[in-house]
Amino acid sequence: MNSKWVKNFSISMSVFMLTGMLSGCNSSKSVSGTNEKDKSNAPLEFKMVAALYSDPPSLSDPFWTEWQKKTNTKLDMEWIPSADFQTKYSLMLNSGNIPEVSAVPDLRSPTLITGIQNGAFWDITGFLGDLSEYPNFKKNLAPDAFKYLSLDKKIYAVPRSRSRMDGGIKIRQDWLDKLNIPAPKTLDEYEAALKKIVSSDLDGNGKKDTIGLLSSSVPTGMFDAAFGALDPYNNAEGGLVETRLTPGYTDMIEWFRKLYSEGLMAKEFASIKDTQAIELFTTGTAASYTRSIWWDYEWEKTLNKTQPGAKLVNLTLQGPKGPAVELNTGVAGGYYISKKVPEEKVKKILKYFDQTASTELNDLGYYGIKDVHYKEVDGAKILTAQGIKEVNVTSKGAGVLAYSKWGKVWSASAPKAYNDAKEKEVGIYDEVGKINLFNNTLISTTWGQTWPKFDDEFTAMQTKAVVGQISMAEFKTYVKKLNDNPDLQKAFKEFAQSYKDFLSK
Amino acid sequence: MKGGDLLSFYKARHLTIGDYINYTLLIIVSLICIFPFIYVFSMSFTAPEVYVPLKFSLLPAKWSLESYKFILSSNSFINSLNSTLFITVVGTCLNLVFTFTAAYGLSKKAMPGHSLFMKAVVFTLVFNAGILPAYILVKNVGLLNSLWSLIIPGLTNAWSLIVVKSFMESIPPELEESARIDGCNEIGVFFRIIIPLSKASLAAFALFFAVGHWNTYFNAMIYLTDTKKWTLQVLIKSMIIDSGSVGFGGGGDETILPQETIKMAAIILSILPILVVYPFVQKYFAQGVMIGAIKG
Repeated sequence: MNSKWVKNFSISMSVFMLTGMLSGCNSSKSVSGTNEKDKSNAPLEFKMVAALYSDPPSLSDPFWTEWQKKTNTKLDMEWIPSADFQTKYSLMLNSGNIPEVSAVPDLRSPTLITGIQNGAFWDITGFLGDLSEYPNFKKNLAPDAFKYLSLDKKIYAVPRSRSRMDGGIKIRQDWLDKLNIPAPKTLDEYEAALKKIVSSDLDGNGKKDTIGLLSSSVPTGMFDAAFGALDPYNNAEGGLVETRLTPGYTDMIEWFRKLYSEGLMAKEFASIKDTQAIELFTTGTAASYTRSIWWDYEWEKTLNKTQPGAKLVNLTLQGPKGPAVELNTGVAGGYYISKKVPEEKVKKILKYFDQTASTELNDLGYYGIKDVHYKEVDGAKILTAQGIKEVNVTSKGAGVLAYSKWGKVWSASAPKAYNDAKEKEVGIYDEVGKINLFNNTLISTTWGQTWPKFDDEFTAMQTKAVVGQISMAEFKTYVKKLNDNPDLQKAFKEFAQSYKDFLSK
Repeated sequence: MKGGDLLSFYKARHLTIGDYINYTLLIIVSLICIFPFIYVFSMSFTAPEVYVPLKFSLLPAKWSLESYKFILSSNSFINSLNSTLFITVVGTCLNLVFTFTAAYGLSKKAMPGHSLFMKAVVFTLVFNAGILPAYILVKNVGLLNSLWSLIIPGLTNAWSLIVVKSFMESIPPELEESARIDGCNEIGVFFRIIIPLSKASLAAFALFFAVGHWNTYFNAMIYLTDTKKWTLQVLIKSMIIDSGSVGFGGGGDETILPQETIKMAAIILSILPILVVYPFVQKYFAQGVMIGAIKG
């Protein structure tokens, strides 16, 4: 009797486990046999890994159905939450589990560079040639796009195009008007304006609790350009010093320290999260905040619920070493093709990417399908509720897209007149702004290995310097100590070489 | 006299000044512990339109189920809940089967190769191969993107095996002998004698494993490629933790983040099951772990 029980138990156990295994695995099996005769029009099938910036999308939703129909592809997308992309992608690379196409947002991550050097990806220089077979790459990419995607003068990827203009130092125009302050043109005027706003009780709650410059950490972006931190700076040994260790950057920290001591920054800014910062700004508790320009329209809408008449404007502030405008490279990562993909298919995939750089596919990526995702009002495309849900950063993640100068200036939900006004407001950015060479541009493996050891400490030190927990002299000593670090000095030399290569390309 | 009554009452309870200090401190500590829960709870019920960041209130300014409605209507939440329930229920059952049967074997010193097996178990306590070999193993046996990758590699672990083994060694061998005299074989002894006597540790380990599975994050993040299979914690982390490249300067894209109240509702929903079950199983929990500990 006992043995019978055991037998039943073990049989039921194994059946249970087997069914479970099958149910767990079956969906990953795909039918790969295609009929020989209709092979020419058969959709191009490939697997791509990409970062996820929203709720996981369904590839059968109207947007992705249309995208695949237009490009005649059958995509198998593997989404990785953007915050974990590096961790998981490193594992995939290191274990040789590289999908056919990788959409990598960070062009200079050490694992990616090692992968490229170890021959994990196709060198596509030869395929691209003079771009005569790729008309959209030829006319629709950002200036120097392929320079950013090269290593040792070979091109390894096609770009994820994004607008160079992105961030803006926003201020409440309606508050400036209320207090009769002309739009600030220099950092000093900006500081004075913030002082005046903070000392007047604009929200009328009887307390002087308005935040001047709102941020969720030391707001280095944009302002660094004004202090010369983005200009190439060589040390005594001829190395190119990274932005954060330049004298200009230290000057900027000193300026923030002054703002903080005058009560113009949030007291607890270091503990504010990004989401909280957005919510604070859109509920009208702060005068100024630095963020992508295209948010303005939606934020004004939210602000107007509680503070009618609210209006945002992006400033061009002159600093001691130039205007406070930082630009992106126009290439926000790239699409890398695994060496395991056969040559014929590489050509087809490149054709697909060329197609996604066309204006037609670009419009699809930004606006979706007419009357489903957007409605046309007075010549402007305005996203519908479904559009806002399905057409977002994630949906732009499978194609090159045409380089759009105004991509991050226009709001997809704003009327044309509004976007035209924004163009006028920030148009000058593209001419006067500076690119951070150390952001997705120059390479130093030593930097990649060394800096992570100091990163947290540096962030803590700069915050301490701003809030006055340490003196400026202490901060300067700390920066000097880093500048004298032999590993970092080696990294600066590599950066200098990389810069030379970049200029000569 | 009232004061006298009160005094004698306290004397009868033997409360000293030290006790008062202790109680006050403990009350303060428990308040500190419970505070974040109340805050998260009240935020999750706050109507999104009245929520103001950094303004603290213990009760929502305006009660609303909006955030919960939003989450429960999203397909991704339901999918993730299914995945998590699957690995929690199936995983815990399998954990118990494998841990208790293996521990029973290990508790028998007469078993051939006993010391070798024991050494193998202890070896895994001391040495860990790391993430990459684990990932390659899971990939090569074809478990990538299967929920089984979250169950099979961790069917049992050295720590649980040793605790359960020690507990089983504490069961008097006479009980087993008498069962054998009555005609039980090894399996019979295990199911009729050992398991009934191990109920407390079964409950404790069931809870232990279940909490582990419910909180599965890292393995799920690296092994699962299909977002429909994501576990709750992966989904919630991608909802809650800010993305790596925020704003500009990263040159990249901004994550579209749900509102704070929705995040809080997601947190409440994800901790609720454990919160509800825990108080009822807690007594076994302490008991079960203690039993093993005494024998050592």
